[in-house]
Amino acid sequence: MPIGTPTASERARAEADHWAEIAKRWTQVKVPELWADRPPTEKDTVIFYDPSVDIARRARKWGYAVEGNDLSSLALFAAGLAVAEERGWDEGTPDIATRAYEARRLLIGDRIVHWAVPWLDAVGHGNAGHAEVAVSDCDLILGFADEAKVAPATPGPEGIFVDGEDSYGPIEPVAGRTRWTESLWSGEVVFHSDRLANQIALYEKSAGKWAGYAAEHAGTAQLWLDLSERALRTSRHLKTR
Amino acid sequence: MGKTDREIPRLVPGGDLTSYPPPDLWDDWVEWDAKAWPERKANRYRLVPTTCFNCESACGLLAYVDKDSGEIRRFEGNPAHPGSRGRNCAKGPATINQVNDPERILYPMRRKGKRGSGEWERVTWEQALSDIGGRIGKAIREDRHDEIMYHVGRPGEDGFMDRTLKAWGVDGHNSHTNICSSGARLGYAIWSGHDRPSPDFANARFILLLSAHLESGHYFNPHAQRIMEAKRSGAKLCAIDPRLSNTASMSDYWLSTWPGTEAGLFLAIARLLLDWDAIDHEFVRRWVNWEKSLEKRFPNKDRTYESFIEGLKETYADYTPEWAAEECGISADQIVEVAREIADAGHRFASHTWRSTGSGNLGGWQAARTLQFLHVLTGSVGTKGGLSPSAWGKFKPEHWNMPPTHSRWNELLWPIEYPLAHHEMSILLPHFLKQGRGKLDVYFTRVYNPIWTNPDGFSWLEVLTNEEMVGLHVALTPTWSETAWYADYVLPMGVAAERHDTHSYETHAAQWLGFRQPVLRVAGERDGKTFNRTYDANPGEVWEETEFWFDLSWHIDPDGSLGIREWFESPNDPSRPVSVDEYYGWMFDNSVPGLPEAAEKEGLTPLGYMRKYGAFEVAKDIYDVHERPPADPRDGVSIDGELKTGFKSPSKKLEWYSETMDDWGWGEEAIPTYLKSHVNWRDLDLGGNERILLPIFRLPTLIHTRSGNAKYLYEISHGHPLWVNPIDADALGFETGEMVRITTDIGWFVMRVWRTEGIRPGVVAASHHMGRWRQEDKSGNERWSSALVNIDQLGDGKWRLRQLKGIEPFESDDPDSSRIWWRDPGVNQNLAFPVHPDPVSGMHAWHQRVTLTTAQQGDQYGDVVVDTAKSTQVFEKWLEMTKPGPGPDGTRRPLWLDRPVKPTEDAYRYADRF
Repeated sequence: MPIGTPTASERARAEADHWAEIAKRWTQVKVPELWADRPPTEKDTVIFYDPSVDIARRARKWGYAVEGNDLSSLALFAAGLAVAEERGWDEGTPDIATRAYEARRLLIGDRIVHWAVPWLDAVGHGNAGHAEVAVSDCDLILGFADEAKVAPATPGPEGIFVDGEDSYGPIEPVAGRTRWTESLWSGEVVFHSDRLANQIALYEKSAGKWAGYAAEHAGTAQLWLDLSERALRTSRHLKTR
Repeated sequence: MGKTDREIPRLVPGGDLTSYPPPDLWDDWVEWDAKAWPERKANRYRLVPTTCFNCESACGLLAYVDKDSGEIRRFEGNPAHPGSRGRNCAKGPATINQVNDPERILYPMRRKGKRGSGEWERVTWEQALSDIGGRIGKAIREDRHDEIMYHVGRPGEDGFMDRTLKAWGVDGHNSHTNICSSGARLGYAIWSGHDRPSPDFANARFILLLSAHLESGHYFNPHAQRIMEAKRSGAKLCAIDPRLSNTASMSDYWLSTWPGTEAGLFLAIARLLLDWDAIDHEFVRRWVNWEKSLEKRFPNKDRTYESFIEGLKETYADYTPEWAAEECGISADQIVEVAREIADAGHRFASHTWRSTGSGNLGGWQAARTLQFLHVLTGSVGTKGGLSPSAWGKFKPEHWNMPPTHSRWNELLWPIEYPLAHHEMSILLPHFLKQGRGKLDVYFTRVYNPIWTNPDGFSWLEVLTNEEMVGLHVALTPTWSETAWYADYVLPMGVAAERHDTHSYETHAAQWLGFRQPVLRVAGERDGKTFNRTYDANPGEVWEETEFWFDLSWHIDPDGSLGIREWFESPNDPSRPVSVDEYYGWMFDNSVPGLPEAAEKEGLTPLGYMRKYGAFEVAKDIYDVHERPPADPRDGVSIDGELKTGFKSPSKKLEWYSETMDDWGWGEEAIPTYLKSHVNWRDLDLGGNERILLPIFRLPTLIHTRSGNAKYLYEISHGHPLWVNPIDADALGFETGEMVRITTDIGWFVMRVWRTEGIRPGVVAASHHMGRWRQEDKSGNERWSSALVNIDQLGDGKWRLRQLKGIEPFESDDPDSSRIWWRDPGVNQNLAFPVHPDPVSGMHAWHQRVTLTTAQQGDQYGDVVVDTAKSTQVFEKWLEMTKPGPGPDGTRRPLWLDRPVKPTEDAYRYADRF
């Protein structure tokens, strides 16, 4: 092993410490005003899906119950899994280490990165008091997710999603749902404006931003391509009004 | 959510490792149809629990019953089952193949032509019941009770056939046990009266497996998952097996011993434990019958515990590690290392043996006896992480309205030559019939295939085709088999999802009861349908045995004059047979502690609870039962002045010296000792062509006859090579794939060689799970797994089985049958094995001393040639080794020793009858 390269155990420990710090920063007690605006949970951002059953199932496999499904609670769960991985390597139980790594990778990919990054991105741009840590934590989470390659870009129509959906849910209007773009903060929630032209411009700008994320983050690119496409569709939709 | 500085949780895997549909959603479980993608199509299921019918483990299954079509779509694990905990091996999910087998037997059939001619006609259940019941009734009226015999493969339901046969007054229970586990059972029973071990693997520090138990033994899935849990917690694993099994490959120690020498190895370890004083003296002093042992084995010593230990040291002084290394063919250092692990583990030493050496060798029962000796010395008996008697981990419910026991003794099953045989001498039945010791008027084979499974299959074929010896042969079977071909009635019985019965096994330190049930009937009843009999809900007219035996008993005694019908009348309406709901309702209401209370909490009846969950945990964390006060003071034993439950042996202690063995003529074998096997390596011409054949290892994905129609399983396991070490292969000039002739005492068979270092030199091996055959192209056995063969009588008891073609694709309602790509059916080697009944345990000693030669001109793959006259000679030779009863008190068998359907004490009196 080259000098200076951290061991798998050391890397897991370092990641655990980062997740533990993230967990401390975004609790309701620490940032009540952000929770009042929109709580940092998947259910409140990706409105089509309530992850509580899935999160409980993942936690149960490790004899754990996540207290809430918010960013802080999930970060603490991720920290616990990273420590379990570290311990697995150190104690000669690599099967546990690899299983803990796998569980953490899937937790980040399935239940954290796709909504937490947009949420932190929005906080970073809209709340000066929290901007620095929001950007910093957004980068951390992106870094972990990229390294784990949770959602690389897929060519053409390839993917595991049903026709008419992407990684966030339905992308076409659903009968009875008029606010179909509200599946993310990239929808009307952030970019509300009295002037339609401004609103359209904001969506187009957003599309460019997420395309830029996709270019910079190969391990999570598909998520940001999806968001970019959603913003473009929204803008096109608004133009028809 | 509200806390600011939560600690990083300490997460450990385990417990609920996988996810399952929660039980409250089982009545309406929704899944998206993967095949309908990209369309979102919901499939709705009713999930009905039942119990796997393949191996004996009785793991829980969940049947997914499609609510639209009413069909079973698949089987997964039942998370509510305490033994299997939602996990299954490959054989569980493969139940769907058995349900949907396009060639399964769907209707009762009766022979038309000559027995074995393959000509059948469909009959109604009523016709079959009337004919069979009438015949049995006549035999009973004419006092020919011993001509009725029920021969069970497995898995049977504890107590059910005891009840049925007691009601009939028939001593006709026969089993497969003496081709399976009689040896190990006796070894354990002589110590404690309990005939099986129940290791607490999950909490052990050191686990010793004599055989490939983890991968394929009893109880494969429930035990394997707990062994792996122990390993994750730091336990070490040792596998003793001449073959590098999957288990051995997962072990910390692989001891590739000479077959049949294992008892010597254990005694060498015992000697080391004694030398190191790694003995739990308090346990040994309290619980071993050392006073009696001193009196009988060391009469000149002082009557002190210390003298007993001194006597043990003297007894085993010659079993040095160096001696064992030479005898067993492993290194002395390895022996010392394993002994040290056992010493260090102390009370947390768990082990298991069941078949393996105990079923392979003359005297093999001493392997279990000497292995148990290590537990006795270390005090790891009944402890957490140790070894308990089976009964502590197995729950036997009471059966409704149990008839009184009978007072008959069937000499065909319990001959006087084998008074200590742990189970029926079933392998000798053909020879006893030929000798004229009796005959059978009605013979049931129940999920049993002796022609293929037992040794000496051609002798079975000879008696089953002789209507003077076997008047009526009724095969109760879910699948075609080599033996069913020679039946007069083939009656289709359901598999896991098509029958009622209860099961419990000693999978861990707990007690549970599982309930097998016909899932389509249960699902239908939840939808408001009613069924008169289970065959109304099952595919075709496939039935279940519970109702079959109820109805058959009515047909035996239609007017009640024999006193049989009364045991099978409904308690609510005596004019009709008892129903399954009444029968099991009584059992769950009255004999399963805690179940009524658990059911009440959910607003269910006990039967409703079992129908919903399929299993119930009666008790857990069961340890040190021997130390508890006895339920009845008359059954207790005084230990240091306190009354304790103790064990089931005559002394209620652990018997190092067995007075029973001594009394019945086996004085030398009365203590844990080393007996020379009939295939001891020193007796073989290893420099020439002789080798030891191990013919009894399992393929973990197959299960005897029952998996023959499981396409999933045969796609996984479809090869049958003879394992040969390269050293032997070079010496004998064999290459991989080459055909060789393997010659036994009664004939020979032809297989192909596989050169592998996974077997010790001097030993060759072939699994017993292959070699299925059929005599007609399109019927008589499963085409997924069998060869088409021709059987020729060559005269004077000489038989030849020759394969005409191997496995091939075939057209059927299942498109997969045309996609079969595997070809090798394997070789039915058991046909060429003579009977080797151990004179003490009665166990068939499976291992063979064989001669290996290159196949000769005219030999074809799969050929089996046998001379049944030689079979008779070998039978007679082994019979000479016996020490017939009666015992010192004039009985046929020690009264304390268990046996199935135990008769009254007067039936044990030998002199009174002759």
